[in-house]
Amino acid sequence: MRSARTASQRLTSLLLWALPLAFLAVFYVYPLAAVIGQAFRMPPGDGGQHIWAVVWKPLRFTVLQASLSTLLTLLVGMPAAAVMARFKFPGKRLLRVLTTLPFILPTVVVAAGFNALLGPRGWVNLALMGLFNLTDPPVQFLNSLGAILLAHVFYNTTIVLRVVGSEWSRLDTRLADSARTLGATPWRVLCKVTLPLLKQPILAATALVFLFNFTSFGVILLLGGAGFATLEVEIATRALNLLDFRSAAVLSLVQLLCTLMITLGYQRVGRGRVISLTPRISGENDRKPVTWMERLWVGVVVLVVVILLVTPLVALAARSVTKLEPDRGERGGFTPRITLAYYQELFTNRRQSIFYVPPIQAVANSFLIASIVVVISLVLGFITAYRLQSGGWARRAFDVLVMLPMGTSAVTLGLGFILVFGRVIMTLGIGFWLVPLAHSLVAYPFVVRTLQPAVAAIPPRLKQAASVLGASPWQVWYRVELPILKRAAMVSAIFAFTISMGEFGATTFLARPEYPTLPVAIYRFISQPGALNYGQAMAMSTILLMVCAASIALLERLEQGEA
Amino acid sequence: MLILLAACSPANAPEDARRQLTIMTHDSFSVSEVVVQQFESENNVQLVFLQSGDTGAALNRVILTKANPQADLFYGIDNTFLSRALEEDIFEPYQSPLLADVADEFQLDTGHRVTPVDFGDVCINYDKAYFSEHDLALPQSLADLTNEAYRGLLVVQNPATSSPGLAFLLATVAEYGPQGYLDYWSDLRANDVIVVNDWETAYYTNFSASSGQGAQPMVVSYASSPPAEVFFSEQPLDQAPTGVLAAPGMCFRQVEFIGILKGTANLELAQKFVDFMLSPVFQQDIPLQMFVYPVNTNAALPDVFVRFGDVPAEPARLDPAEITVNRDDWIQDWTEVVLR
Amino acid sequence: MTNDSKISLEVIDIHKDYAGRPLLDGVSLDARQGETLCLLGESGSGKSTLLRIIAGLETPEAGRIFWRGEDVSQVPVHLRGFGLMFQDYALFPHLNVYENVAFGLRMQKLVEAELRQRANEALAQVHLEDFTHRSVRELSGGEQQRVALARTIASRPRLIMLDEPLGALDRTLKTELLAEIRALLRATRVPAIYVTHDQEEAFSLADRILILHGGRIIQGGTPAQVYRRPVDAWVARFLGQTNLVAGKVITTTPLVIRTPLGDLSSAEPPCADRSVGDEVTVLLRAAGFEEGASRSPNRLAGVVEDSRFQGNDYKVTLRCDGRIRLAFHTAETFTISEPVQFSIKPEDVLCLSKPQGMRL
Repeated sequence: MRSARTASQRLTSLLLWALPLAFLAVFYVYPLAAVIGQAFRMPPGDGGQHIWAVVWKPLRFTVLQASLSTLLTLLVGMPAAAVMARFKFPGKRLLRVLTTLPFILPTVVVAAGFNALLGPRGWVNLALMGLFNLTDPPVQFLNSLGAILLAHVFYNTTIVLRVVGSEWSRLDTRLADSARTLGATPWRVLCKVTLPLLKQPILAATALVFLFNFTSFGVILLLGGAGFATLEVEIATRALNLLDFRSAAVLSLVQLLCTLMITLGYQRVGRGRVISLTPRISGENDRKPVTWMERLWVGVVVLVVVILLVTPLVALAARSVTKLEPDRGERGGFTPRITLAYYQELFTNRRQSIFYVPPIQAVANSFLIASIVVVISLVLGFITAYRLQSGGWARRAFDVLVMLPMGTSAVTLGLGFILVFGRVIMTLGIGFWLVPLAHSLVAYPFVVRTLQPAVAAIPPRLKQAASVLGASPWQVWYRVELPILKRAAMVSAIFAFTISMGEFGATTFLARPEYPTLPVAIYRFISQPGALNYGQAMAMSTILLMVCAASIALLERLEQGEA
Repeated sequence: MLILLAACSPANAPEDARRQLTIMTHDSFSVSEVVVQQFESENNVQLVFLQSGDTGAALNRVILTKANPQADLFYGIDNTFLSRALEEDIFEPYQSPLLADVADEFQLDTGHRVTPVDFGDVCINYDKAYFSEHDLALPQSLADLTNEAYRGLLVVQNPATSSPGLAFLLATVAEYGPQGYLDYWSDLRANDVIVVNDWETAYYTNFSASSGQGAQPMVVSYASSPPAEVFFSEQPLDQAPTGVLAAPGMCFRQVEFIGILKGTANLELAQKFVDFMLSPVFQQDIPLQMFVYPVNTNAALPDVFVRFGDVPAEPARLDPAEITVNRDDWIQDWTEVVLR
Repeated sequence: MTNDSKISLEVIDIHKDYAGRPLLDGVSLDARQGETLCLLGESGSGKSTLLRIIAGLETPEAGRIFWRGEDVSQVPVHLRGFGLMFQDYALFPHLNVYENVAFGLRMQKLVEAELRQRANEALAQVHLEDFTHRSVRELSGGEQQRVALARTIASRPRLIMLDEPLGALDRTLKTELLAEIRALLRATRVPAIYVTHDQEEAFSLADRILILHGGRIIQGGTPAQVYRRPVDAWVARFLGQTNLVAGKVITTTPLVIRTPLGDLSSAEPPCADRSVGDEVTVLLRAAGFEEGASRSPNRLAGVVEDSRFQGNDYKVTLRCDGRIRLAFHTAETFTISEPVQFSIKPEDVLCLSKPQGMRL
């Protein structure tokens, strides 16, 4: 009898392994292996350089910028996570939504936002020039390493904020309180109690941010200028512009190898038992800052976050309703005027083009795809997070495999998808699914990394108490674990949603023309000259921002309303 | 999930009842709905356009899948990529009768594996207001750009990542020769030329006459950009805010081609489509859709192109075969001189 | 298996290893209808594990569990109908007091009206009627304990198990809650197993006490039986009876044991397994103290080390024979450092077997 029971358990366990494994095998390993195999069957590129010469420079720069970016992101993100977790202040909910938005923006739009703010004629320079009577813009920001780092901080701070912040807010304050009563200074409490307790989420966030920076493409290309190239940029250049597939494949493998090492390192550092603590529901621990020190601290941190993360968004939105153009091709003394012309123009197909995208349709497509991505990646992510609870080499190997898609060259994978699923794209109906599947592949590691620490932190006793009270395994999950995991699930859902909403690279490769998404529509505008095109790109970006902000706010409300 | 997995084996793709003709294109491809409908109803066929990234990405896709082609035709290959594509032997030759209306200068492939459709000139655009405000004379040649007067005023694109960037590099190669162009570029560098990776950044972030309000009054763009600025302005303009430096040798002409992909099951229909693309209906639709010029001499230009457009009389020229052989070396050498 | 119709739960020969060592080494027990069993043992003795095995949360290496003659060893936890109250209460942090209590009832898919009635009834039984909408995280330890108790009884399990439910509470609260638990368990009339390491809790609750030690149940009986006649020196000491002296049997009828304090007579009935020369441990009951040299054969002398008033009597600690310390309950107090002559009634001298390797 007992053997029968364990056999059925084994079968269930096997089936649960099978789903995420099949997903990764079919949509990750297979296309990747196919494209790299194909590349090595092709003639070598004309460059004739030694391959090490091709690899070394971008590799060095990639590691350098990724390390610096990650460090800066943590520097901004950790205090922000602490303030968000511990203090109540007016506008907190809004700030939390706004700080998530950078994540969704296509790089081309971010570049425009930064330009509107920090460019030669951006607001900052205009203000400084006016203030100090300068003839040349004092801030030379674009096309520098600084721009790359700032953009990475802009993009990735939300990862730290969400992944670490959600766990931080659930930490039992009594632990820190008891350490305080034992005579520890606040600083020592932070170092000896709080941060060690947050080790898992901090590591997860660091790994995610690092990998994101490591494979950075758009930011380097658009904001870094021509002087900088990461591995990913080099891969894209080689594959797409020089048609040198072999070098591109070698670079992809190098990148993959680095990802593997980073992941193994992460696993090694993160090893050790996860401490299960009675989870506290978020919102329980935050309070108003009371002392002037606390107020100052909260104020400074919020200000930094607003300046870094929110002002470029505001600049973008402002730009979508501002007309800076002189009327007649003459520049003389123009004043900015408010206009809704760009939004109106979105609704007209001026050229009767077959590729015209009505904004509502783009919103609907993006929304539909993002919703599917949320479902797919959360189902797979939940199964995986639970599977990763068990021990053994299989778990450790799977843990690494899960992270690899993040560190894989998007260009290479995109080409692999085309090679393997090209025919599928042609088939109406089925071809549609490739885009959400590709997005899910990107979102999946995020979801797993967000869910896993939360799953691990649920005390087993709660589940046992529920089953003793008569709850079946499904009921235990649904009625006890899920409500406790709700916050982490919501964070994952937001990540999956925003990743999908903002994804552009894979979408252009894989989307059928019938289903253009918002970023595709944005790109169609900004790739042509003309004030209306630029304005429409800004307007479409603002729509993207607002759709996402509304969705995130709704998700958050859902989570808090039921708590 | 089962449906999805089933969908993964390409053999299972069901056939659509109505015939489909699939055209792989780059992202910049565009066409009017009525034009598409005309061809569809005349031939009882559904046209499917697969936009697959920029020219390089789309060509990549065609080359990677040449054993198992995903489209019947490929539109968008230009003369900078032409020889490379021909080397891959991916096209089915077809000589359209309508080529009689196309100037010889566009018919770069004598084997007719590809058919020219449109052309555009990559030229430096300038900010008219800036030059008049600063009382600055317009550069009359590539050599003028190295003058102190224009220090830091020009933004170009990285030829390794940008199609107009490559075209402009080729213009300098045509002007100064494979031996001299690097000296010219080191002079340009000494004169603080700005290099960015893509057209979007160059135009909308750096160029002072665009909506981005950048710092450089000169940008490498297209000869058709001024008409586009007029067409896409917020209110009617009687003058374009930007102009084109179209002096001899300063522009590089890009010709775009369509080719029938080997292995197509719809050869006859594909040939009809090539004819259709050369017909005046399609050719006259081209300028406002893609902001390039039609190759068919019988095609009438829209008013905005007639009034604000400027076709350079003597663009720079290079043999496509020479481009293919040297392209990577030129780009790499350029990278060493300009970026390192 | 027995055919005793009153036996509800029967646990047979449970073996369970922990970290490669046997933790439970053949544990068997049974519980009758309405009976409260106290499982008493040191921490780490495997009492909680035994409860978890009975609940179905852990699988033993060997052994069976029967409920009314039916083997339930393979029945999944949620279908066993056994209630278990956890040591740290394991209250659901995402649910309020009422929903915590109603949880098990919801699992039983009761209609809303009945559910509400039973949940409120359970809350009333633990005097938490006014707490229904409070968050469980706002509650004090005692209140949390009550919620856990209400949650356990609300779903009317056929067996109630409590795992050190009063472990973390202060003494007054303990006494108060102990009384409540006793009343509740009486009222439910289902068998209960109460796990604790505190013999006072066990004595005040148990119908029957089982002492778990070394992976086995080494003694069982009513509290009085167990207290009065500990099976060995370990049990005696564990129950707080510390007047233990090593000795050797010199005659068996009457039973006389030679100890460092002198020869001591015991009124214990002679038994077959006791023979001359056996190494034994003598327990001197604290209540067996008689001052002065009576006719008792067990005359002893000592020096008063400590004397403390305990409400009804005094607890006097004496040092006998220079190094043996004995404590007795006496009616009067003694002056510290004063020498005292006293005797122990033979019926208060118990002869216990000496557990292996135990040092006194």
